[in-house]
Amino acid sequence: MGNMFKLAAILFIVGGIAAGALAFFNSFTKPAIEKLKAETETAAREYVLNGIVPEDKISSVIYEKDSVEVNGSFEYFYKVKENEESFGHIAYIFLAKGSGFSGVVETMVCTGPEFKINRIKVLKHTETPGLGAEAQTIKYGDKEPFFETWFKDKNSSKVVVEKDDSSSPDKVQSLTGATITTRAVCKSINDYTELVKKALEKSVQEEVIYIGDPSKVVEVDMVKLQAQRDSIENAQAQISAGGK
Amino acid sequence: MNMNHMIMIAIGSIFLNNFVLSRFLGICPFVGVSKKLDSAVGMGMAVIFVMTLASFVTYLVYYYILVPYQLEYLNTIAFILTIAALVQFIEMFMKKNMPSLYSALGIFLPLITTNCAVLGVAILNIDTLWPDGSHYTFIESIWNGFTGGVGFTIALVIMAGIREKLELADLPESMKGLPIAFVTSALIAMAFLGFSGMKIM
Amino acid sequence: MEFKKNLTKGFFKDNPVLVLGLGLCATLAVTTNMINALGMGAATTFVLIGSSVLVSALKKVTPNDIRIPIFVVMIATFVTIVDLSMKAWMPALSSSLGIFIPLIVVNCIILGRAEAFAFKNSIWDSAVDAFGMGIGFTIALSLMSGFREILGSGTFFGFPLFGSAYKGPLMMILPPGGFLMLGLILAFINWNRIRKSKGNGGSK
Repeated sequence: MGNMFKLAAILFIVGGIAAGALAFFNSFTKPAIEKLKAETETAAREYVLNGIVPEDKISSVIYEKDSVEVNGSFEYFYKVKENEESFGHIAYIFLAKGSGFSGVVETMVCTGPEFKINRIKVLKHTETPGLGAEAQTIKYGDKEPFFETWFKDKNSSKVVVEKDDSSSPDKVQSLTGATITTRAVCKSINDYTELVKKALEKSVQEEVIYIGDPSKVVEVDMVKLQAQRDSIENAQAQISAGGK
Repeated sequence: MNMNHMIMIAIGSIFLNNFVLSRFLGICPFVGVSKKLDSAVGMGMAVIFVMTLASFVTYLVYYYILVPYQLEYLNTIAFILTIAALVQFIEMFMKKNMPSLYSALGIFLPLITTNCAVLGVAILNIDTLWPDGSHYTFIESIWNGFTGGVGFTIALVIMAGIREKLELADLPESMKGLPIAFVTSALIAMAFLGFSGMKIM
Repeated sequence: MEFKKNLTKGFFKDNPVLVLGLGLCATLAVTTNMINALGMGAATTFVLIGSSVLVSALKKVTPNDIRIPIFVVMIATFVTIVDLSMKAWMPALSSSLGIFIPLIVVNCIILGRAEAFAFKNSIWDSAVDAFGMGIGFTIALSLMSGFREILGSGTFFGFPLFGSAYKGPLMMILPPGGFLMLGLILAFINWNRIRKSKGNGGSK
C-alpha cells in the first residue's frame, strides 16, 4: 500500500511539473495568439474594404461598431465612414457564420450602402480538403481565392447558388462537389444581411467609434452627433422649402 | 435538448464524417482487429462503451476543472490521462463484477487507450461549434461519443465481413495483408462519400 | 558505425509507417498536400526527439511500474508545446492540421520509441534514433502527399505542374484516395521485397 502511495505521489509530481512547464510556455503564446487574432481581424476588414475605399485611405477610415442580438448573444458589425466629417456610411462589414458540410464556415463580408457585395473573405472553416476547402484556395498566379471573386457585385440579401435558382442575377456557381459549402456561405450572407438591415433601422444609441486601430475605441459624443444631424436636416428642410 | 442538433450529430458522425472512413481516427484498430468478424464486433462494442464514457468524463473535466481555472491549454494532457485512467478503471471493474463481459471485451480495452478515436472525440466535443457560436452541450457531447463509436463499429464490421471473404480470394502475393485491406477501405470510404448528399440544413 | 545505424534505420529499413505500420491516422489524414506533410513531420519529429531525450535522461529515476503514464505525460507536454507554438506563430498550418496536432499524443511511434529504445539507451543514442524515426515518418508522409497532391490537384507545394486547367482525379485528395495510395505504396514495398528475396535465391 505504501508503495502505491509512493507511485501515486511520483505521478502527481510529474504531472505538476508538466503543468508548470506548460503554464510557463503558455504565458508566452497566449498574448501572441490573441495579438494574432486581432491582427487577422483587422487585416481581413481592410482586405474586404479594399475597392470601396482606395488602398492608401483604408487606414484613415472610421469604423462604427454596432451590434445586433442573435439568439441571446451579440454579433458585431461595422459601419464604415470615409472620414470624421462625412455622415453617410460607405460600407458595412459583417462576419457571417453558417453551417457547412462539417462545421461552421465564417465569412467576412463587405457591402456597399445598397448591400451590393464588394468583397468577401472566408476566414474559418473545417471543410473537406479538395472540396469545400477550395473556398480558400488561391490558384497559382492569382491574387485572391477564385471562390471569393464570384461574389463581387452580387446583392448580399439575394445571393444564391446557381443550382437553386439559375435565373437569378445574383447567382454564384457552386464549388465542385461542395454545393453544401457554397450554399452555407450564400445563406449565411443572406441571413446576416437581414440582421444588419434590422439593426440599422434601430436608433443610433449604441454607437461606438474608433479610427483604424481597434484598441483605440472612443465613445461617440452623442450630443454633438445629434446636433450635427439636426443642422443637416434643417439645412435640407430649408433647401426643400426654398425649392418650393 | 435540441432534437435537430441530435439528429445532425448522429448522421454526421455515423455517415457524413465517419470517424474511420472520413476523419481517419482509429485506423490502427480498424486494420488490426478487422480480420475476424467476432473480434470486430467485440472491439466495436468496447469502443462505443469507452467513447461514450470518455465524452462524459472529459466534458466534466474540461468545463468544471479546466475552464474555471483558465487551464484550457492543459486539455490534451488532462484528456489523455483521464482516458487512460478511465480505461484502467473499466478494466478492473469489469474483471471483478462482469467476468463474462470481461472475457468478451477485456482483451480490447488496453488497445483503446492509444486509439485516437477516443481522444479525438474528446477534443472534437470541445472544439466543434454550432453556427450560432455555441459549443456542444453535455448531452450532445455524450451523444457524439456514442454515435461516433457506432460509426466506428459499422466501418469495422463491414471491413471484417469483407476481409473474411478476402481470405479465400486469389490475390497477387504482394497485395496480401495490409495493402488489400487499405484498397478495400478506399472502396468503402468511396461508398460512404455517397452519403454527402444527406446533409440536413 | 552504431551512430549511422541508429540514424538511418528509421529512414527505410524500419520505417515507422511503411514497415512497422505505426502512426497511420496522421499518415492518412494530413497528406492532402506537401506543406501539411512537412509540417506534420516536423511537429512529430520535435515531439519524438524531446520525449526520447527526456525519457532517456530520467530512465534511472522512473519507477518501472508507472513508466507508461509518465511517458504519456511527457509526450503530452511536448505535444501541447508544439500545439501552442503553431497556434501562435503558424496559424495557417495549425488550422489545416487541426485536431491531428493534439493527436500526436496517441501516435504509437512516439510511445513505441520511448518504450522500446529511449528507456534502454543513452541520451545521445535516443536522440539520434528519434531523429531518424522522425525523418522516416516525414519521408512516408511526403511520399503519400507527393503522389496525392500531384495526382489529385495537379500541383506540388501549390505550384501547378500541368497548367491551371488540369482536372485530375479529385478522389486522390479525398479520404478514399488516402487509403488507396497507402495500399498501393505498401503493395509496392511488398513487391520489391519479394522480388529481392527471389533474386537472392530465397523462395519467399
